[in-house]
Amino acid sequence: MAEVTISALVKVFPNGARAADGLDLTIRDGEFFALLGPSGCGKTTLLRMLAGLETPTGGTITLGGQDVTRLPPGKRDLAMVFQDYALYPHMTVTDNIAYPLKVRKVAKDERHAKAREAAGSLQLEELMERRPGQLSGGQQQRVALARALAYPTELFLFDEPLSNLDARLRLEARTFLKRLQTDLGVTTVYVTHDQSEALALADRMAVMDAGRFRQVGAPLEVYQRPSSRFVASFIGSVPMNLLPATVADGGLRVGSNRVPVPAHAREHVAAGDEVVVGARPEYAELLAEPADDALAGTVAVVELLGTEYLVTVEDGDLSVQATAPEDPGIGSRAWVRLGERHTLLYRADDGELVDAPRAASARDQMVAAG
Amino acid sequence: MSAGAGPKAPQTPAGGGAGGGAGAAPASQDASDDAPAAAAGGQETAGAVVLGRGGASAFVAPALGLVGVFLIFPALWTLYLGLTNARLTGLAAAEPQFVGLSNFVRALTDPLFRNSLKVTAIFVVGSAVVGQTGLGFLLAWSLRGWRGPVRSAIEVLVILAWIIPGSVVAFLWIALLDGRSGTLNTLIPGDGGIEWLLRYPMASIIVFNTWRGAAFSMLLFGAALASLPPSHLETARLAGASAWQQLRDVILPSIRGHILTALLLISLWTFNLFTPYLLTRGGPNFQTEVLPIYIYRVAISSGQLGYGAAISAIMLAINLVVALVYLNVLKDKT
Ligand SMILES: Nc1ncnc2c1ncn2[C@@H]1O[C@H](COP(=O)(O)OP(=O)(O)OP(=O)(O)O)[C@@H](O)[C@H]1O
Ligand SMILES: [Mg+2]
Repeated sequence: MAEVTISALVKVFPNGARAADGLDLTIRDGEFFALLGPSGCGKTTLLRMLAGLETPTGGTITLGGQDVTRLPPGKRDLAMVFQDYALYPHMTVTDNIAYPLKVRKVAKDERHAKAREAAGSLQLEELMERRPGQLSGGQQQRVALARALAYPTELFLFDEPLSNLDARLRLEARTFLKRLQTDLGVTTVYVTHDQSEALALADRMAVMDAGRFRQVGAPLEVYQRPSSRFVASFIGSVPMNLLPATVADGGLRVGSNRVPVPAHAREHVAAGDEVVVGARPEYAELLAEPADDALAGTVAVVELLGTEYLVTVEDGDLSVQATAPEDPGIGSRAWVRLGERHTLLYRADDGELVDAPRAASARDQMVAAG
Repeated sequence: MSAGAGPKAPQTPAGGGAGGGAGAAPASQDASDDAPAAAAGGQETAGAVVLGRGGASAFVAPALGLVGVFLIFPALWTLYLGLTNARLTGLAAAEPQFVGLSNFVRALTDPLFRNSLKVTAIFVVGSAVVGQTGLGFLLAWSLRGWRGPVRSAIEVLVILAWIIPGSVVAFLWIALLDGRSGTLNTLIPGDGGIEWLLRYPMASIIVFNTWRGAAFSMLLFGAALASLPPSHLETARLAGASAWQQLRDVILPSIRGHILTALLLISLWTFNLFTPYLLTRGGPNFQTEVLPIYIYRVAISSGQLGYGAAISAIMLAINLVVALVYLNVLKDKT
């Protein structure tokens, strides 16, 4: 079992792509850590550097207290599931799963037993004698997962291991993974595009963009209090409302409406500040009657989410979404109250929360100016 | 576009009936899977209708005709000649007599023919299997990680050796290996004066042919290695596999088809190669008399056309057997 530390990790590819741009992070022993971010932000690259398949341009990586920055992959004692599965077409499912054990000189009977065991927990028993070419995408993915689970390691690296499964199988595999990881207590780094997966599985998560961490924290914290406009727009199954606004006479002017400044942000803004109001549709309230702290508009779109409706209310350029238990009917007048307690204010210029300290260079300038 | 006529049979094994837990909604999935397959089938049918069986045959006929004239007829003619006592000149050239299998029987007891078979085998194994295929793979393997001018330079050199005409290359090699003023002897410190082509004739032609043909397998293996997904090797490296284990467990099985193809083509080329004649003329003392040279000597130099044809027929048969063996291995669980 191992703690993973990276500090000042930089990776610049020969073509100039900066896939890691000064990453600092400690992943605790036994932690399930999820990496989330848009395509091309450097998730796979970070995983590959942890695995030793990519040499960092700068910075260090330690595994269980040992500096492994220059250690070859075979000496790091970790298992990785690749985005493209990397199954050997010339081997049966059994041999594929057992291959790492074969390299470690485990006897044939024992490694086949281990392979069957790992495969069984992923519902692959029927397929053991097939070759990867005779499997569906989801089945191949489970074989790749089984191969990683079949031998004991210090660290699991998963690169979107469930992306090709159907919804039900994905939920099952997810639950299975979570249980397995809790049982084994193996430190796990898990890359995913599916944020519900990250929210469900992870002890902590990081949101990446352009080779940097934009926010690191517990899923609930990241979900409820995205530290920047970028994270806010990225996290959440329905996108957060992000409305440009101006602070004026103790309130926020949003389009032609006025809403109160959230209590927790009051001391961080001054009249005339340009801000962005962030409010989740789930916390917003749809009203059929006028209210003075609500945004007024006309219902433009109604989408059924399952148990409730996602309603888009428009007023000129302004468009805001809220969930409602009933369909208000397209074209009707409606008022949206944002839910002050969960409303966040971001600075319009750097996109950070208004109560966050400014980045160093900006603060220096302010100090100099003052 | 009668979609129903499309060949649906091959769809069944490919379809999702994979047994596992795929559960959820197989029925609707199968239905949507069917659509593109049926459409593709329809297109094939449409193509056949446009051309028609007769039209298609008409298109193929000229090619078949050429194959007949230039391949099958000479082969049969060789077989026929092999059964006669035809000679290049003289009475037996005008009116060859049918002598049955006596040419073939004679070949079995001819020590020079058997010597030639042995020499050819050594030459093929040494220069085709070990030399060209082995060296080609080694080159491709070691150049794999390289980029830039060094790699390009090596590639250009190797490919040059391949594309320069054989007679020119032979001249270059004679200049290189010559006893008195050869480049090699000049380079080696000391008295020198070694007549390489006389002292080490077999080694000379093996090195010569290896050098000449390594480019082909290098290019072939280079392409094969490039198409190997990097994650396959990386998985092995993560498991701790040594370079040798990676080669044995991942690389060689993955490019098995390429290896067999290269082996087949190169062995057959080498087996039928006459170029060693340009270096050693089959000598000294028949040490490098490979089959093509032997046939040339028997049929053309000594004029025994019938006997030469019989040996050619044997050679043809060996070629066929080699090709069939390779093709069978290739077909085996690919
Ligand atoms: N071998 C490479 N050479 C050059 N650039 C690379 C290489 N690998 C990745 N990159 C670049 O580095 C950046 C990060 O790539 P990476 O594969 O880590 O993205 P990712 O976050 O995993 O994306 P995705 O979610 O699509 O898998 C991208 O801009 C990519 O183009
Ligand atoms: Mg990736």
